[in-house]
Amino acid sequence: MADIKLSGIKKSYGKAEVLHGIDIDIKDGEFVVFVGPSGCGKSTLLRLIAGLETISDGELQIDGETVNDMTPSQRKIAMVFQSYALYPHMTVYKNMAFGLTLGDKGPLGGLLGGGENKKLIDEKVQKAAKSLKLEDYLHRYPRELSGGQRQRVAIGRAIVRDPNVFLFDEPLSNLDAALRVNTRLEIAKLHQDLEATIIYVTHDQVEAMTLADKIVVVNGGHVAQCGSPLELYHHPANKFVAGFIGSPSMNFLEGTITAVHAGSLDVLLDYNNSTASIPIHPDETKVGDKVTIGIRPEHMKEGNDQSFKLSAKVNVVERLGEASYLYLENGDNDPLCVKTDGHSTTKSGNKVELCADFSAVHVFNAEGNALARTTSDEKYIAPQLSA
Amino acid sequence: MRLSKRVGPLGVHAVLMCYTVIALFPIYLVIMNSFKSKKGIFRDPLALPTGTTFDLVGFEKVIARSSFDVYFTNSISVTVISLIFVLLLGAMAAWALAEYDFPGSDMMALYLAIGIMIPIRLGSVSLLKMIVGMGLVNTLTALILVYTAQGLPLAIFILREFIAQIPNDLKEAARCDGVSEYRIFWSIILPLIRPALATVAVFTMIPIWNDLWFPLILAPSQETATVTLGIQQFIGQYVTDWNAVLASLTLAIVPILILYVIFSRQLIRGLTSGAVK
Repeated sequence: MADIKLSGIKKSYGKAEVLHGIDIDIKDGEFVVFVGPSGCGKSTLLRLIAGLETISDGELQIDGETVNDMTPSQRKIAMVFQSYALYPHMTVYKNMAFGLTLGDKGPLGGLLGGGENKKLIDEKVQKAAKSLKLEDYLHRYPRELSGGQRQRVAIGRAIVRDPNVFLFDEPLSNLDAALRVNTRLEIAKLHQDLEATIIYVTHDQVEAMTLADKIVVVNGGHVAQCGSPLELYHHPANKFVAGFIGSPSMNFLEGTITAVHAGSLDVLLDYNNSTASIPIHPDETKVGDKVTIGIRPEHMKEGNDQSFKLSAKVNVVERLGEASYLYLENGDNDPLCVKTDGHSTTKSGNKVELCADFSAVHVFNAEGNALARTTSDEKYIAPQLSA
Repeated sequence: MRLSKRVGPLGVHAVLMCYTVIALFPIYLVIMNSFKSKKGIFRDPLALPTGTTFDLVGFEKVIARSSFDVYFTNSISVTVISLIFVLLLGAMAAWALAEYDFPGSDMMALYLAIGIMIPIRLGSVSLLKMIVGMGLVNTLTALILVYTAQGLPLAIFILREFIAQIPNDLKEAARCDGVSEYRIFWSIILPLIRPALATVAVFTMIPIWNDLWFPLILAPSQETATVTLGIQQFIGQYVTDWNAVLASLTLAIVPILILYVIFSRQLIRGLTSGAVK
């Protein structure tokens, strides 16, 4: 088990730089999730940590040791691939044991044997198989297994190696929805049992929120924000993170600052020409600045008993049972979304009144960076979780 | 619509059957006539052997009057050893060309592929000179070297394509497992390209087995003659011993048929299924 430290990691392919200086600290035993849209560089980052790609610039340390030039096995990492990458001509048992049957030692790079002794290997494989409920499948071939079973074999192959760090590359994206939830729980449990450092890459923010101790949001080769799931949810550092974390995603409305007070801002909204007084640290903003305000669908409700009021026509209603999502007319922009009670009788075409608490509103400046909120309402700030 | 649906496959099968008959007919003639007496062969070459025309004299002659066993051993050892070299070296070269990006790798692949387009027989004179220079005339080694060179271009070309199709994740998973590059080649790549190896083996083996040219110019001695060369002694300018020729041809089919059966069993499709996704 080990700490991992990335400092100024860069990666370029020819002239195209895809990672522009990544700094992340990962503590021993932490479950870290890299999340971001496709093509943001999160998988590349994982492959750099794994040693499958060379680092163009910067330093990668595992357990205090610089590992830039080490091979994947020297780094003592184990990787679970999106495609599982099981050896098709080997049984489940052999798939798991294969990495153990050979050492780096010996002539021709272990071609003629070496590695650990058979009894020890057998013990490890049986133990891993038991914890993953694979005992009955040890003598089957990968093609004879279902997707979920293959996934477990891939995880088993990582476990038997007893690595310092587990790397998961979108391991659930090939599974169907129900199996995905199960496997997600299994992975969470695995983390508790093994107390291992895990780095997990996904584009699914629900997986990130549910699994992570720490989420690293990657966007365009930069770290957009790094923090616990609730920190990211309640205190997004910028518009990108605000929109990416949370489902359905945050609503954004354009506006202009009309007055700056100590501890709050008045913003004139383009949407309905109303003024909102938002508890925000004004920072360096001044009157006339363009800003974007953000508010989560679940922080809005039907009615008019809260400070921030809107009225709009409902285009689409999605009824999920426990809640209904109203999608509202918003000109050419993305429709606004409101999470309302499951018993709401609002129909599409209706005009509704909506309201929210000013404390729930986020404000982003023209560069997309969040302005610090001054609210002390517990509903809208991240709770302190004891470690 | 329905009719054309039925006629389609029927037509295809009719064409294929025709081709099969045409292709197999000479072989049928050879095998059938090898069991007939000389009179039987000439009186009615298309008839099956009957009680009066059935004769094993051809086989008796071949076995008694020539060193057929020597030819056979020569042919088999030349074919098998060349085959091993072609497959092993071909697969190794293909792996290197497919997997590692080194300066000039594409040029190297192209250079090797040129060998497919230029018949090796064009270089017979220089080859003979080289073999003489190395003092390998009338040895099986000379044949093995030439056949290995002859088989490599196509082997590398085909195997490289196959290796390139093996999912990258498999190799990377192996690298994460701490598997050495040699071991990846032996334990993962080779088993996965078995169908391709079998195809290449069949394509390589038949021209080697059937070749008359190189045995004739490089190793014509009695001790190093191959089956195709050995049979020539029954074909004279004025008299041809058809019984013996047909019998030896029939015998010559057997080993290559056995090898073919062995390789064709490897041609199982979908071997990689279950590897990824």
